[in-house]
Amino acid sequence: MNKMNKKGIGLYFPVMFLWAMFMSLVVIASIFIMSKSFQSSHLDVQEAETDTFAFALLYMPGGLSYYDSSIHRSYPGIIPENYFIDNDIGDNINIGDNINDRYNMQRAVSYGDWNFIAANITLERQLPYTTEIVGSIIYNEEWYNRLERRARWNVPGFGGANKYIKEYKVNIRKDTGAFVPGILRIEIVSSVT
Amino acid sequence: MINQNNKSKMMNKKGDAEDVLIKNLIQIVLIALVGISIFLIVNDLSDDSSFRQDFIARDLALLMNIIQSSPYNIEVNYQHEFLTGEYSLEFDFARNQFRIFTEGQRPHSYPFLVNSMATFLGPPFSPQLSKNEPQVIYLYNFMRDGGRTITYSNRQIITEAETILPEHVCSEDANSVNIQTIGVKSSPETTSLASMILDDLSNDFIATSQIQAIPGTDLFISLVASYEGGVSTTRQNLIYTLDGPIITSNRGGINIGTDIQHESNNVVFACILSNELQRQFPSQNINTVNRVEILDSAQAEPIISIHIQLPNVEEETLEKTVTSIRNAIDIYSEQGVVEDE
Repeated sequence: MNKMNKKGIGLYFPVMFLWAMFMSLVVIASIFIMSKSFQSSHLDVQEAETDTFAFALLYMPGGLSYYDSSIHRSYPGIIPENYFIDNDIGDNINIGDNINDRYNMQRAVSYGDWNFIAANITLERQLPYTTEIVGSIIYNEEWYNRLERRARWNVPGFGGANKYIKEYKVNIRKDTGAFVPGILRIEIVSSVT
Repeated sequence: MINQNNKSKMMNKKGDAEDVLIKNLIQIVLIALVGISIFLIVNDLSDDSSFRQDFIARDLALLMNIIQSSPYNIEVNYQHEFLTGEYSLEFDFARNQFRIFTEGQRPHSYPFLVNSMATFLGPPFSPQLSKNEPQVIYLYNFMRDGGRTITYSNRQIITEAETILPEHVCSEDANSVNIQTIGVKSSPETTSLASMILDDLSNDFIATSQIQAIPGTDLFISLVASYEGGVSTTRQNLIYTLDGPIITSNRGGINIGTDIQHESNNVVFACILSNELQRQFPSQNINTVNRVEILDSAQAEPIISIHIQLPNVEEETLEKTVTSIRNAIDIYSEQGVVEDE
């Protein structure tokens, strides 16, 4: 009996030591995981990004607003009708380029090789009781189709996309120089960055 | 027996004391291990600057978007408490993204949009934000003259300002707000065209005392003027950019320098060349812009950019371009030079 007890006492220390070691490691790992999970590592600027993109389209020379190349000024809030009717937004924004107009616009206000943002821009003429669509332009069409699908299905996390809709009251400038009230609707789809 | 029992009890007590001591020691060691681990983890977290870098990258990239949306001149003095830490940050604005580099870590970057209506050049330098120095980044956007300037600074101020060449100097069609950065991507067609132009022109320049032909780097060609007995190869102050007929992001180019001491010479030569190109390519728009680059506020280097989108890259285009440059140099040599006073 005495021998068995001694043997038990002999096993007690290693077992308790291993158990204590194991528990200590669990505590250390828990602290590490918790501190890492509570650490702020991601900044969500997606909405701010879409805002600045929309403002860029509205304010930048080469964007959607009427641009007077002789005095190098854009007129935010005044949208030439012919940009949307003929899709002809090239002449005023990229002098000297004989390339198609949609490409022109993307080149004028461009993220380069970064395809995390795309937009569908629709201009509507405001009538007394309704609105009439003048036309629409898709910025970065290939990626708009991809991202819009992800946004529609609400794909979460990185690789997913969100859709932001912005509407602005604008003046539509006709070729004759006359102005009519309108609404500029910008649907921006942006992947999570 | 009694003695033996007492002895056994004595031995057991001694064994218990050792047992307690060992257990306590083990507990102390493990507590110390946990404590040291927590200290190391927290220390590691406090040293982790990835959030800081991510923040600065995104903040500055969004700021880029905003200042480019400004309808008029804007100057931003960016100063953030994140820039005043003990960390050394290296950053650049290149290829539509703001990147921050830190030793031993992956670079943090965030894209920003670029308005090609105005120039937004990505100069090949990497300013460094280091401790014990003023941590300020200046961003400028000058639009009054149709051009824009973005400046980055860490004590050393680096400025790029642009103005459009006056209309009365250039031909009516030869002024524009559109400047193109060249040298980023060169298409084989335009690069080979540029090489052929140099080959064709090199014989002319060998015999010309005022202008000397020097092969450039990065697939471009430099024609740099000699001045005061020396040859300036540091900068090409006139850039003639050839765009391919379709893919406008792929370009070739020719760098041409006149007397770097006289900015007005560059303007004169650029306008003469623009006019000659316009004569040869009447249906093409030619954009000519004057840009001034100031380093350290003391050293100003004017750069004039001529940009043309060619109808094709055929033999006829080559001949017309060579003729334009040749004529421009002839005219410039005869009447366009500003001499030392």
